[in-house]
Amino acid sequence: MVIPMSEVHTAVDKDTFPASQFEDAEQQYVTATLGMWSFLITEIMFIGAVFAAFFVYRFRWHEAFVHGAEELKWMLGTINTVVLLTSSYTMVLAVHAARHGAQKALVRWLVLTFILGCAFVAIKGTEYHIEYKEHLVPGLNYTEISHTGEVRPVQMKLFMGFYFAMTAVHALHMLVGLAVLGALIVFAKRGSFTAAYNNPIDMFGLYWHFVDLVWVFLFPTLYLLRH
Amino acid sequence: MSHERHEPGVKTYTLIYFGLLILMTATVAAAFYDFNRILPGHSWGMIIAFAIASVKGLLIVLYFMHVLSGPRRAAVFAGAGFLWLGILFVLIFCDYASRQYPVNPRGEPRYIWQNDPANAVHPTEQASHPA
Repeated sequence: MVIPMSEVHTAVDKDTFPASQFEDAEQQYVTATLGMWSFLITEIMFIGAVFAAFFVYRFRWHEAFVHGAEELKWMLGTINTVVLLTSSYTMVLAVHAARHGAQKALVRWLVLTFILGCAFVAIKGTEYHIEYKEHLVPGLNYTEISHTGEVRPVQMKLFMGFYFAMTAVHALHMLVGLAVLGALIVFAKRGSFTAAYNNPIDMFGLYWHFVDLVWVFLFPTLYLLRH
Repeated sequence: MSHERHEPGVKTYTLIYFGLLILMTATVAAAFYDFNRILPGHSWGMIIAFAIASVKGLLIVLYFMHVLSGPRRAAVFAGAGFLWLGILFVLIFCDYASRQYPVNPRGEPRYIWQNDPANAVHPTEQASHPA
């Protein structure tokens, strides 16, 4: 059976909130929160293992990894950190607005978060482009002599492999987040969220802050360990 | 709502946000100074960077992710996640710190690709690490 788009709107959860399997709204909220955290724990385990592997190799090949960090664009990394921290701030204000039923403010903060998220991905793309031009991409065009004629330590290729794997996985999470955020903006504009029902905004906030949290650790790990 | 949630207000969020920016500036500034020169040991850059990152992470988790003001069960879940991460790190790093894994100059384990000249074992080395 095909449901027409006009009916999808009326079938939004706020009309059947709390859902029949829950005692009350609070129980549904707690259940959603625990579900989201369970998912985030799997993410912690996944990215944590990559961090562990990175440090095992960094302890082994200290000089090469320091050299790798020095070839990254710390300035762009810093700007991206500011952008992402700011987007976390606008997101928490969106959650705050949703909880108080301030629909206009909610849409405004969500749109701002969306713009900042796009800015992050754009800056990351610029960085990738520069790194491609400097022959830093293993598997594509990595060279052991840099564009300035300097000889790169052999294991720096390993560092760059980690760099691209970790930042690409992070950027992928950003893109998924932006897609969900786009949908939430549409629903928020239609008035799907109220002071009583705003779990999706709350849960998306958790995801968005988690992606920010991963970057808070990725940034010093990749860019700032220079000694 | 059956329970009143004591969630932080806009003022708290703003304070946390500026706190995060200040900490970020501190971590970038610290990265350009070699602390090993003035302090004993050789991992101070990493220790300082991760101490600052942990404080930033804690602020995000406790305030932005509402672990402080949200349901206690969520705090237990979050705590469990980070506790397991700690176990992962401690066990892996203890293992690597206390053993010698033979590697070739590319950092790969020596037992793979045995025909690769990079995996050749020097006779003196073989004497000190019997297979």
